[in-house]
Amino acid sequence: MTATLQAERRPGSPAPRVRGDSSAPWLLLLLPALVLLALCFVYPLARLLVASLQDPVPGVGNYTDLLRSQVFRNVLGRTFLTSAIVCLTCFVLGYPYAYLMTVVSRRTRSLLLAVVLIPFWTSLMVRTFSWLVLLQDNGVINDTLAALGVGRLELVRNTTGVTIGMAQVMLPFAVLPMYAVMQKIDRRLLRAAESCGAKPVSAFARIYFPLSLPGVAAGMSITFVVSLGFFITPQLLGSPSNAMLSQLMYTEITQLGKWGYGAAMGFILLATALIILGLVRVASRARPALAGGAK
Amino acid sequence: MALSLRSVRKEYGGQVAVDMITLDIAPGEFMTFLGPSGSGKTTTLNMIAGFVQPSAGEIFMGGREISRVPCHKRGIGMVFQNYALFPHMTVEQNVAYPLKQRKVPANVRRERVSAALGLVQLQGMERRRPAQLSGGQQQRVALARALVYRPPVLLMDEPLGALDKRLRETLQFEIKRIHDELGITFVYVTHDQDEALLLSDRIAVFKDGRIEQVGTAEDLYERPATTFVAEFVGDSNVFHGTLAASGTSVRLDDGRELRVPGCGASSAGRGAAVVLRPERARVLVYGEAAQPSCQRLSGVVASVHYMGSARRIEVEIDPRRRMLVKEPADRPSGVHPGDPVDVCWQAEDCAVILSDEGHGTHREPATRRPVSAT
Ligand SMILES: Nc1ncnc2c1ncn2[C@@H]1O[C@H](COP(=O)(O)OP(=O)(O)O)[C@@H](O)[C@H]1O
Ligand SMILES: [Mg+2]
Repeated sequence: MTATLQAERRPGSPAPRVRGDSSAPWLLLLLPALVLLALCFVYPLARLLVASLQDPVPGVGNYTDLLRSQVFRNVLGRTFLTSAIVCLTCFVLGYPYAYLMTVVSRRTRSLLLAVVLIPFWTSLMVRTFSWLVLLQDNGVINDTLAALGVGRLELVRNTTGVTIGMAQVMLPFAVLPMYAVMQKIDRRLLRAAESCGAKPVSAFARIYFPLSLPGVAAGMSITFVVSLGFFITPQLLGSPSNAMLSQLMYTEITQLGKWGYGAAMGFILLATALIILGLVRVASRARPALAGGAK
Repeated sequence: MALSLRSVRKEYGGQVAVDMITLDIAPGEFMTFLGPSGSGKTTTLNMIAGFVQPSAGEIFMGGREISRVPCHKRGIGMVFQNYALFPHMTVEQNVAYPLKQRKVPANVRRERVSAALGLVQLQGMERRRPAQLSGGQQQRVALARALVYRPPVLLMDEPLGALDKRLRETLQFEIKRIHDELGITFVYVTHDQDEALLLSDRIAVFKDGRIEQVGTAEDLYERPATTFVAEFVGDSNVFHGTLAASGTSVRLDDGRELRVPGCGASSAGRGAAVVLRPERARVLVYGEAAQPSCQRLSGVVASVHYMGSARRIEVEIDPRRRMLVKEPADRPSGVHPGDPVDVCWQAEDCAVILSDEGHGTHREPATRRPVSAT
């Protein structure tokens, strides 16, 4: 019996990987991509790193100045906060949306997918200006709110406007990874949980949600990290008093010509983004601990 | 606890999945739903479990009408074909899950989990995750999870369907042992007739959303109510014809007459199917003497297959009809393909199935087990 037990393929386990000893030739296929990456990404990045340490004088002066600067610290904090809000908004909007995509018919699913992908197919500038038109003080939305007796709200040239604009851009990045994970969750597990006496809501919270967490982590981390670098949307929908880091960088470099200073900002942003991605990875490795269940 | 289905019906957008099923299951009984794929077994089971709402009819558990009670309040245990273990929980957490839902205190919980794992012989696996277990072990965990809160009724939907034959047999005996040990009501779904015969107190044979027959394994095998049951449960030779005036023989379509156990002359003229199990017949070398009471049909051996426990001999009675005979394999058969032989059997070893309609409405006679039905 032990033999048969071992011979069975365990459901859910990856198919055995064939380790080829002739893998070297295949690696050549990666070469064009690697060259492109080296030329267009690694080299400029290295140049920037050098600039941040050389310009205007050699040393870590740019970094120490930045970390001491109240303006920089404020903008950095605001950038993180805005990204976090965008990230949360995308989760709140995207999670139910992704879930819906897993339960509807195939045709409705294609439709839902198309709707969420529309932002990909239209120019960022066009969309951002459209938001400006919609959200401005006498725009369609405010006119409607006024007509309904709610009164006019400040929807643009502040964090609200920036959040709305950015969330729309980032929504597909949140929805797609969550959908990809949810679609693989066996919905019969919910039935199983109910047959164990769990209320539907509890079954969802204790079984489905923990299983969807890898998708949530992937969607949220990409949303957050990409949001950190937004430029056009906050430029058009925000105000100078709530500028984000890329705007500050832009000013430093193009208007003040402080290349080293701007580059150092970029590196601090990059470092924080990498740290966050690292933390998410560590957390998802320890995911079973998050998952709840019997202790 | 007793289960009772009253005229239960389920339609999916006009298509009937389960049609007017009425069935009583006694407390502590091992009831099996047997039938081909798509015959409504799962739908019926899911209505008992509460996953599916009946379109009409009532379901009683222990005398209480439960059709409108949500699944999580029915307290019925369920084992699924795909195991449906929670992949992010350990074995222990999986088995403890129903107890947590019932707010059982931690110390009692630990005891009950360990007892349940003992029942399915899985001690020592507590810390593993489902992905680290074999299919058979996973199904044991699923059993433990379904039994840990001592439900009065356990439902199982083809629980062994994904396992290989050896493992299936081991688990069949375990399921039987657990049923004997706990004495609770089991409702078991399978499309495997051997499994049904082995496990069940009674079997309900499903076909096209209806129950064809309910009875013990012996009832189904010896006294099938319909030709479908005769052909689905075990191998059989079925001859269609009309009951003769005497009530003790059936005239076949080709004019031959077969003696049968008496059916009473009042049924004379009705369509009748004669069912003969292959192991009740013998193959005699042509001309070999036999008891005079024997029913004989002559033919030519078409094939002989050694099956280990038995030898399957196919005999061509006429160009359109073959009979299947199973003989013990321990003695040499002495017949070979092409040999002229007699197939002979005792009339009282046949079963007769009377059809409601008159003669002539039945299907093409089937002499071999219809593979398409399983
Ligand atoms: N959710 C559903 N929607 C539509 N038809 C269904 C659904 N579930 C089952 N059916 C139909 O009901 C019939 C019985 O199915 P099922 O109970 O699963 O059969 P079995 O378990 O005996 O194989 C089948 O014809 C099947 O196609
Ligand atoms: Mg089924």
